[in-house]
Amino acid sequence: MLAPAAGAYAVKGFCAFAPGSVASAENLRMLTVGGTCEEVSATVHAAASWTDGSVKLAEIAFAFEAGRDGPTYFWVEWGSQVRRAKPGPAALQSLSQTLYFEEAEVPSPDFDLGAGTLLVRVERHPDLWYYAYFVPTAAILGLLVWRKARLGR
Amino acid sequence: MAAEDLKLRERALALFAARDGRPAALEYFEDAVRSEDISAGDGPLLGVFCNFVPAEVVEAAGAVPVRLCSGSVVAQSVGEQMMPRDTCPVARATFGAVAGGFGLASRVRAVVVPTSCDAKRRLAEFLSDYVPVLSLSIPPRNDYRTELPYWVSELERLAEGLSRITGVTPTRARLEAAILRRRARQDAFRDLGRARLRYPHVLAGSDLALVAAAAFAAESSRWAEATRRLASEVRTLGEARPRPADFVPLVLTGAPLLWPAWKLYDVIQSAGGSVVADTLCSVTQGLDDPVQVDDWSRAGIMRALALRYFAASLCPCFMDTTALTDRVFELVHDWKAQGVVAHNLRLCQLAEMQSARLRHILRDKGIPFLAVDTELGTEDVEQVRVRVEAFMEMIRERPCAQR
Amino acid sequence: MMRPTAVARWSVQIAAFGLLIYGGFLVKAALGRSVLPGVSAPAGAYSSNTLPQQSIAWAPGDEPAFNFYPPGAACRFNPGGGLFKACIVHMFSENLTWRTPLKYLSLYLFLFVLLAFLFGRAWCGWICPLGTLGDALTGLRRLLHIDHADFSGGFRKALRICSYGILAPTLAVSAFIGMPAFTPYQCYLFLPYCQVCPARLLCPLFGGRTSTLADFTNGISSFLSIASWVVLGLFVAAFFLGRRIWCHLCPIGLVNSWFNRGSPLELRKDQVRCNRCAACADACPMGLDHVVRKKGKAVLNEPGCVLCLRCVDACPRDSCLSVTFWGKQLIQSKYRETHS
Repeated sequence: MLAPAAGAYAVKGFCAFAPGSVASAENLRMLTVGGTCEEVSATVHAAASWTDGSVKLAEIAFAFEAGRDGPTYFWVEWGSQVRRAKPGPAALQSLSQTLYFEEAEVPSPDFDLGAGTLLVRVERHPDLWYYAYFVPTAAILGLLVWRKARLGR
Repeated sequence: MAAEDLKLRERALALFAARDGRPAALEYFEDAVRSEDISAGDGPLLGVFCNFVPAEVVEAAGAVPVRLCSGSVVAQSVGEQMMPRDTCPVARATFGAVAGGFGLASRVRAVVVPTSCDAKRRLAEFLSDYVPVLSLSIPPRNDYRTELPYWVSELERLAEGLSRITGVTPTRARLEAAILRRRARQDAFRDLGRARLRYPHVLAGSDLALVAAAAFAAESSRWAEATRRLASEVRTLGEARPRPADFVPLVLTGAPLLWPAWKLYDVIQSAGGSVVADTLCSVTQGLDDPVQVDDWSRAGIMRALALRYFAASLCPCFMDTTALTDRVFELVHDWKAQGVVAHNLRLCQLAEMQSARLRHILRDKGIPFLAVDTELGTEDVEQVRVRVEAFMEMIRERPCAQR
Repeated sequence: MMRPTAVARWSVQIAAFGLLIYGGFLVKAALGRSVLPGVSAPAGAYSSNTLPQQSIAWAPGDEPAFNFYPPGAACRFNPGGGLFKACIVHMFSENLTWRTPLKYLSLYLFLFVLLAFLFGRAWCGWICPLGTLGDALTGLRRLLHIDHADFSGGFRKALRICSYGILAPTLAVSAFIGMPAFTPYQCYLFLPYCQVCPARLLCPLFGGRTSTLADFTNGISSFLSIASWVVLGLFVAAFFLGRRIWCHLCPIGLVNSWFNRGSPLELRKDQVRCNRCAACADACPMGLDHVVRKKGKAVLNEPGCVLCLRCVDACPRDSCLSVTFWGKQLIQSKYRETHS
């Protein structure tokens, strides 16, 4: 109940880029962190583009085997020399559970716009923690409505 | 006639001065009502009535406002020669004072008459034979939402009329200065009120009325200074003197008790009661409410004046008087009053009808109530005394817990 | 001769203005980017670096210091990212577009609801930077002794209806452009209310950035630029001449206003002490008169009231009006002397 089951997840995420830095969706790939830095099989497509055709917003999706708790890190790499080698995973649509990755670092203001890497993190949170906040929210809203009704009388 | 009027005032002053332990600071106020000496500076005197004429507008127009509402039986007898007998006593007295040339009434350049009641409207016409009369129209509803634009237009009309008489235009800056100058009155009166709330046994109700009567014509800063001296003396005397065990605080409401016709004060005080608070336009209502200006533009100032002088009024000439009922409750609660006395001036239909209604409301709340029908003269003083003494008996016999 | 609550409110307004607009720089300089403590909630399906218009050049690092949405106009266009993320309308719009699963927003919703419940529309009266700028314009008008414009109750009600008419289409458009068929239009119509909100033009100016002022790259963006100027003009005129009439129209204020009645921050009246002088109605910058008009009610919270407390200051009767929080009295009306 507390933690999502182990198993395969589809992981999605968006990355935004400045104009001209990523020429096309092909110039983007995902790598694992540590040691060999292998490429992860991912689907990348440009969700939005700048007027010069470069990618403004890239939507990246890949499959992730959730074996343990705690965050898993990946690199997003781009550049004119970068080519995505592996095609996207075929069975992504069939995976019912989706996680989202987020940026794990703040890009420094003067990073190289033409090429670079970004560290992202995938974390399996027990869903309960998210849902837990609905309880006090509902309680406060209920209290508000009750107090309003009391005033009306 | 003028001499007789003066004698009447002296007798009244002597009657109330005979009380023990009166604060010495009252001397200024006695002098003020005795001599009616206005050293308010330059500017023609302008007679006003009620609490509806904004003194700030009059002062901004370069005139000196003096309230002419008279309680003098001598003046009343002069007035009766022209006015019918069965009319408002205050109207008769005031007209008599102007026609007979008593005191301040003889020195005013013009008068401003608010059309608050029938008597005032006809009084305006009578007065117009003696002095120039400006009228201030008072609509019968005091709901500011519907009446505020009209009130403001009336005040503008008044300002224009005044400037034609005095030659001085009430500009925004002059209005602002006048408001700040006259604010000293509210500041001082509230200071005195706080002192009296703490030590209600020190200053008699008649003495407070004296302070207010002096304000009819006195210059603001001098009057305010004297009031503050009185307030500090009240505090000093109050600390030295404990409250008497038979102290019976009462709230006074109804028609104004105008100087020197203070028979009711005398009767109540002789019977052992103390008027600690009131809703009279001759005392608290003229001095308690400040002009609260939100926006100091010309229009904002006029709005603030209109709201203070019309919306905040407790006069029964308005259709909705729940504000008065609320005020009576508030005063009874704050001053721990043991009863309410309503002064019904004979022939004032508005006051009589209001007090009849108040009787029922207060009876439901279990607050002792007495309505006294009387006139300016002292012919009926014994009947009044009998009724007041019976009322005081009734109050004293109530179980302590009920008070 | 400044009234005590006026001093308090000006102080809070100026401090909040500085913090909301420049706080981002200060906090990030000290701490680096911090997310909400206690929960490392993912950003969900959206990235806050996304920007619809090319003209607004977002450098990476333009992130707020605290990733949450307080109830005022904490604009996302604050220079350097600002102290907080954005206003609640932005939160609704953005997440409707990106279809963020609600569970990722639960913490932000909870914090917003908690703060809005506790303080009602006092966020508008004491914290909102647009309100602060507007009150400065009002102060200028008062210095010049120009009277303010009056608006009828009917006009104010109409503005509130228009406010719904701003919020509902904003949310509808936001939802639409999240659909795959409409994504090409996202860059023009993303955050529809933000496109015309005066905060988007004003807040960046405080960081010396003028890039949000105009975008004429295409028809839609030109239209929206001109619309935003018109709105800014109305904003300035409304605040200069009409005190806080603008706040009846603001959709952020509309959301806050749902929390006013029922908030533990209460404006109370002791009816017997009221002398019907209407100084409270005269002083109210929202033009409300319920304080003098309502009979026999102890609690006077109204959706339109921004709890600026000018009415409490204006009331000349002791203990007539008071402000309580969970029943504990904070201030009450008092006669104040002008001559000491």
